[in-house]
Amino acid sequence: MKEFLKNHGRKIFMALLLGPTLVLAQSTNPTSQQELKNPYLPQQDKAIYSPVRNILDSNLPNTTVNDLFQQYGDALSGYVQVKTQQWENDRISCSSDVNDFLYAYIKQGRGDTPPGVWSKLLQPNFFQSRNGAWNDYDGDGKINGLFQGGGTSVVQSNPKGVDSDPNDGIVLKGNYDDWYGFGVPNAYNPLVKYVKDNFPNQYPDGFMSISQLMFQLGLSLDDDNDNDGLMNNDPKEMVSTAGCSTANMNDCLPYMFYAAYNDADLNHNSTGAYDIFNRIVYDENLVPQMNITPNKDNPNMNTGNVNPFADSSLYPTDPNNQWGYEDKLFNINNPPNPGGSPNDVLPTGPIIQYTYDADVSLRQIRTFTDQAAFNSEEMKKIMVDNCVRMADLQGIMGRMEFQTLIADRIARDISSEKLQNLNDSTFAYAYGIDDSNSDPSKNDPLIVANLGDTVNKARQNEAKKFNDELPDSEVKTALTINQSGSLQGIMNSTLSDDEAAALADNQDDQNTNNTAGQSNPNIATRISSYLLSAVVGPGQNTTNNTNQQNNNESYWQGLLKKTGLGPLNPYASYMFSKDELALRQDAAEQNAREEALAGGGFLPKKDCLKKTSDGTGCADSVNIFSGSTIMNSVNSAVKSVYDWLSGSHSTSDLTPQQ
Amino acid sequence: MPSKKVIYIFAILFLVVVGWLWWLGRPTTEAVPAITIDTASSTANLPPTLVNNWPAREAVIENNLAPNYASGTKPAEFSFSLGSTTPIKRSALKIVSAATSTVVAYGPALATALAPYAAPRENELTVLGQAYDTQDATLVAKLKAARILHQTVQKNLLAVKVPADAADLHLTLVNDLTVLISLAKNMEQVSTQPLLALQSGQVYQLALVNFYSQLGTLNNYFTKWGVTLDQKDRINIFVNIK
Repeated sequence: MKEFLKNHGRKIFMALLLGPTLVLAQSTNPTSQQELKNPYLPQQDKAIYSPVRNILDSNLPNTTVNDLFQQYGDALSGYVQVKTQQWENDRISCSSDVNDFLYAYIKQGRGDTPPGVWSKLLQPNFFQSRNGAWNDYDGDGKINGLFQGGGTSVVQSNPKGVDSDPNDGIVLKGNYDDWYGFGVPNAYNPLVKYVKDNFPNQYPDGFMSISQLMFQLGLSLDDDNDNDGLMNNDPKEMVSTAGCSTANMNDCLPYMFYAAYNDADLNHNSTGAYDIFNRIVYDENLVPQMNITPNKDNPNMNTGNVNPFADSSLYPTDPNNQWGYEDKLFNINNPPNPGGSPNDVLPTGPIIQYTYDADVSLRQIRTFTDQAAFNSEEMKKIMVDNCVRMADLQGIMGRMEFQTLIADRIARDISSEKLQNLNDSTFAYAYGIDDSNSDPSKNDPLIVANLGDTVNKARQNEAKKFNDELPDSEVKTALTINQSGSLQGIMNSTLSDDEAAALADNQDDQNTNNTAGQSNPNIATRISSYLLSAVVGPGQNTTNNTNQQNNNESYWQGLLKKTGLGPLNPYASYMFSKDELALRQDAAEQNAREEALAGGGFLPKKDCLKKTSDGTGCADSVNIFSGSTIMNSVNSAVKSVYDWLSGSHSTSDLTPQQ
Repeated sequence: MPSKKVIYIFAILFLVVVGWLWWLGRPTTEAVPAITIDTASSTANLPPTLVNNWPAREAVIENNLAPNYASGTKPAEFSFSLGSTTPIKRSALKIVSAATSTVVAYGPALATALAPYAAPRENELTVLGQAYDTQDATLVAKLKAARILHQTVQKNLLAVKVPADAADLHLTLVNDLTVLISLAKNMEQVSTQPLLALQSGQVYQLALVNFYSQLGTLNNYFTKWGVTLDQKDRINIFVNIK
């Protein structure tokens, strides 16, 4: 050992010293996989949250927004549907998720090929065209959907059928990137033409993934010329148009992709996909590679943010000249306003300009809507304010619901798993609202509003049960009616006249003795006297007064009967029964108190197996739910309502009952 | 008895192990949440009119909603499908053949139909919010005026002779107004059905953007025909989305 340590001790020491350090250093290496940042995502944008954004974050840089819509079309459309349903369920439309997605979604569907998603959202058939003319460019009656990847239900739901006619839609191939077809019929898409012309064998349809296209174009992702092969994640470079200058054209396309990505990012000031199209077709450094000749007569071509392809009227009507768009879209010979400001170019239609009460008085409408609708803080504030009002209204409605129909609301609107195990009216009579049920057990309130009432009800029910056990007799009558007359009847049938008189005389004696100041005969003495006389026989009494002796005998006979010590008699039966009833009622009361205590104020839900003879009580019952179960259910239900009203619920708790 | 060297080694090892364990067990820095949600829920961001009139407004709203609750019915809500709204069909349009002459005539007619939108007006969602906050009937009247404005323009648009190749664009614009009219009707009920009104207002704002966007699309239609309208035949559209 000593030799071993002598030879290797230093190594062991170093290993112990350095090993953990290395392990820890490795685990905190900022370049490890977990720490890798999306190079396309400036870190300040991390503050933005939406499910869409999460999807984008997790997929970039390998794909683009439209690619995602292809790949996740079902999921995203499903998301919209879920959110739509949730919107309805929530009764409030200012969920940040919903609004974020609507913004992003509208921006995705913005433009008119196909019509904006807004029109779809407003249609009974979610994705059906408003006019039945959705994107049917070639007029064959078939329409391509916005999503076609993965055989989506979106396309399938299209009443006009599905085809893959490239003259129709903007998204034709599920696994290809449609970014360069965004908003543009593929037949007129310069990038489609470029791919089709240059890669007829590999990509005869003209579809190529964006990364493949970039590779073929010799474009680099290296935005900052540091040759690291990655797009710089410096936010300034990412968002700066300087990074897309003519001198650095190779970095332009990644910027454009990034801008396309940000097209779905309502919190970013990117000019979006339309800007990208403009840059691709207008930039002389890039365009020649694609054999495209922009037509600067196209008023949209140099207007910055306007999609030059959005207007289908610009496309040739001759189906045999589908690639003849150069005549209308691209003609470099006659620029209408070379070098002019984008805002100086106006469409020729009846709308000369758009104004609004802001610092901008003249804009292209799409530029305006881009900036005002999707980037305007004012518009966001208006909508957020509206959301605040809806939240405020929720509070008011919540209070009113609780004040008025809380129980009904719970029964009607809430169907959590536990609540489904209770019948609809459980909470109604739990709150003492419903007392009309013919089943007496269902009229029993399950909530202890007044413990005294609860106890009394338990005692009364026990009396009814006990009464059912008694045979019909004057005793039962007396117990039931409990009136002095009935008791007197029992007494009369129990005592003979002599016994009753003796008891009455004795009462007089007692009164007399009391009046005379004599001591009242001790009852023990009297009993012992009676027992003595019984032993020694009549006449061997302890007194010398015959009348008094006879009277005493009647008295004692009567007293024995009355106290139940004598032979069985109606009055004794009454007394025994009364004592037994008291014992049972005390037990029932104790049970009721314990049940109320155990259930936190909620009594067990019972089913009545056998009613009492009068039909108003329950002779035999079984507990369906303990009080604590009902307490938990009610608490859960109430909490759900509160959560629902506060907007923080789980939808699983709030599925409305149909 | 181990040598001093061995003792030193073990002492150092002991210290190293203790130090390592101490380092491992150090409190980690609280991670800064990568996601922050702007809820705009702070009181400072609340609409002033909402705050200023809180008790009175809530009392009025409660009073207005009381009949609903008394009768056991829920306050009306916005239906996202707008199922009750019937889009206007293409057959309702006055479609003419597409020719330069009809396009030239279509431009001024379209401008005339849209002329009511030239006048500045307040944003309807803003008005709705103020109406909710103040329960002021005059503000509700403004909402009604906006609805009538849309109805007027829609009626105007249906009277326009539309070139066949512009029919789809024209019909889309008409039905954008159908949506806006439907929503505006809901918004007018802010006093009696505030939930329906506020939800509709949220949708209205986005539908309004969609409408203006469609206007721009239709405006570009004339480029196809090389038609440039005279200045007198053109109008200014006031965009009130803010």
